[in-house]
Amino acid sequence: MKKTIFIFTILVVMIWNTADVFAENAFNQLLQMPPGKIRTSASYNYRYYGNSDVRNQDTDVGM
Amino acid sequence: MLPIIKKENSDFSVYTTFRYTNWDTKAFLSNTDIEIPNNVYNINFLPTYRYVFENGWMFGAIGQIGSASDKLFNSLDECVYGARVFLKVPSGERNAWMFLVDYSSNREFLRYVPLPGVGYLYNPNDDLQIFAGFPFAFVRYSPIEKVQLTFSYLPITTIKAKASYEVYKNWKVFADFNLTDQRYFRAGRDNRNERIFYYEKKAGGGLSFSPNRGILLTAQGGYSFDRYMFEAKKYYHSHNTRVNFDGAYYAEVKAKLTF
Repeated sequence: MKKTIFIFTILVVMIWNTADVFAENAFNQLLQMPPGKIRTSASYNYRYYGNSDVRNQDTDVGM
Repeated sequence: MLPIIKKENSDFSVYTTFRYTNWDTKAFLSNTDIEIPNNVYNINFLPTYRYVFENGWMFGAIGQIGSASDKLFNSLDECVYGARVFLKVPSGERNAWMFLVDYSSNREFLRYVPLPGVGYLYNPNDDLQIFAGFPFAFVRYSPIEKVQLTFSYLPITTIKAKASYEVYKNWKVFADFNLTDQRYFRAGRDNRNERIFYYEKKAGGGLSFSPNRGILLTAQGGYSFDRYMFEAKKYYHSHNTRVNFDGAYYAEVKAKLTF
């Protein structure tokens, strides 16, 4: 588990919270700079939940 | 976002996302002997093509293939498919109409049903941007210098609201509220049409730093509440297997690079 998190941390790439990446992607396409000007982006997001009976960890990676 | 082909009036890019969630629990779904899977994954590949016609209209097509499950690509029943086409029609210099058709096998509602959509983008100046329509809505407003308010809605239950203030050059403090959900196809389930739904609300705030337009770093924290999970074919069957989670504090870091 920790190894998996570590590997994707090393990749260091990610997206914001993607409740529905599909719809958000379409919307971003609408607002983004015009064709031919689009740029490469990568992002990483890690969230840790504590103080609970369920201690989630969310890791989002995207490019 | 990874641009593959960039031409003057068109481009082709691929957007790839991966989410790993560890729930770290020994709980069972209510009224069942099904253990909540500790590890779930969601991976998506979204090839995107856009073309701008000479009259300024923009056509776009987005495909989607991926998997959302505790065992990625375990079978076709754990895979996710989707497609969306849209047409942006300029209205004046800064505004536009948007028309779209959306298909998804893992939409929160009416999966497998192609849904049409329409909306209007109102962008009178750099301080105000409103997209009003179906199936989503978005508002970005800067009432005074250094303050920005954003709000977005995706049906049925995805809401994001954020207020930020630039306290110092390139540094912003913000407060936000999110109502989000996740959906997964558990491998080995009896009914292939059932999915695990997980809902939560989050309220928090944090600090972001953007030394230039290519780098954005964020650290934040907050409280997650009204958290619950169930496995069902549709939302209104949720009571059969629903499990409520305690509220929890969370800490989060984000990094985004654009180059």
